[in-house]
Amino acid sequence: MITINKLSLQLQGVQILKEVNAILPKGRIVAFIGASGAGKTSLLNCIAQVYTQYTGSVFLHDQDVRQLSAKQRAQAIGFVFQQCHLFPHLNVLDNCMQPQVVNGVVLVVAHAHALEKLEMLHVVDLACLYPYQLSGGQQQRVAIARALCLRPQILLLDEPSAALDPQNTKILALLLCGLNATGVAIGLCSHDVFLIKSMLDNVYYLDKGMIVEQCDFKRGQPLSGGYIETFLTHGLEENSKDLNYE
Amino acid sequence: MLIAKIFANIFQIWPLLLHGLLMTITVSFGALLIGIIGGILLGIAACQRFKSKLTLVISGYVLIIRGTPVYVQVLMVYYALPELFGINLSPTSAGIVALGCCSIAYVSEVIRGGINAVPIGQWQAAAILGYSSLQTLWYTIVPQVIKTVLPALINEIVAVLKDSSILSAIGLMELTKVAMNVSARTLDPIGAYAVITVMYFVLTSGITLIAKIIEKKLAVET
Repeated sequence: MITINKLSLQLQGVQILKEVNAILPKGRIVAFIGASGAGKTSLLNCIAQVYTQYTGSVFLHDQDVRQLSAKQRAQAIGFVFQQCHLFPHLNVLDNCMQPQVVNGVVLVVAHAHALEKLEMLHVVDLACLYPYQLSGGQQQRVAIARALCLRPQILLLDEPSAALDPQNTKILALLLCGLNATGVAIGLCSHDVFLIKSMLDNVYYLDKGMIVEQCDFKRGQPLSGGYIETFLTHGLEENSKDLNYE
Repeated sequence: MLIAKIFANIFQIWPLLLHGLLMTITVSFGALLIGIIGGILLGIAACQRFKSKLTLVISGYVLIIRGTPVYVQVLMVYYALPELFGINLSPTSAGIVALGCCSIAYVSEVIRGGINAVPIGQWQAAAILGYSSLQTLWYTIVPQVIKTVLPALINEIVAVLKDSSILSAIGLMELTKVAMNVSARTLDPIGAYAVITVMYFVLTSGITLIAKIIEKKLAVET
């Protein structure tokens, strides 16, 4: 479980996040939604310690994530970037193996484990290809496999459906739900209504760096007619129609 | 008649020139060893990721070295250093030090540029996956940088090899100095200079050829 306490973030004088409180419960799916620029990605980046200049705290169970070593953190929290950031000089299999080896896993074990994860994400056939030879969807599945290779309890995904067509988005949603069923908690940020709807669990709505609404669908919390309901029925346009684009 | 005379001369001066060639290779190798090792360290220290106060010092060093002729730097190391700090260097060591220090500046710029060209996402991805800074450098950054900096590094190797001819100014018996001496003694301006021209050309072309082969081996499209 991850607990976020009064997390604020300022980058180059701009307030990105303001006193965000949120919880990623064990084994659940938490989605952060909101308009572009609302701070969703920054929030995930803070949880995963890509950004460390935040104030407030992020707790993993009862330990401050900042106090974990890089290796401990990597093995607890997996992160999939929007652009995947696979290592271009390594083939798919090595992309999945090297992080394990760096984290102290024996080569033979790392090899077997990498193949297992690639198989799980249906990309084992691509094991010998290089990232530039893969499509966007394939790259993303490899990136998820790479993150899973370190056996994290929590997997964070930044805009996972941004580069995917509807068909691939559907596959991704199924895949993430399946993954969640194996006990991995998932935290993702997205503005894709379809993706959020197909894995509805616990949703936070962010606006201008603040969490303005939260809804726990799995606990049967009813919609209050606010941002989240509007988002789920009309997409983002409705919530941001007060913006003036002239 | 003239051509026969030139060839007879070349036959005579050949051992001397070979000796000079050996000296040129030794000095260039020494200077490149300093230049490449020092340049890599300085380049890493000066890249955006590891920016610190040291970065400013390094850019100052690069500014000075790049802003002055190698010839002057060689004269400074050989003639001025003994006066300033009491460090007496033989022409060979002075040549290696001067060319090496000059090379450090150029190599560090090449390395710095190469490292900065690697997308920041690569650093972030490695950090997320539990790589330490050194592991990131070794496993992620270096393999990507090598390919991009190799042509510029080869340029530098060739430049140092050719610049070593400047060391004739401090009396080092390298290829150019030997040729100058020989041609003064034999009063033949063609033979010795023609031979060293070919020698330099063969050396640099050899390096370029080897580099091309390495480049081809490293080439994985990205």
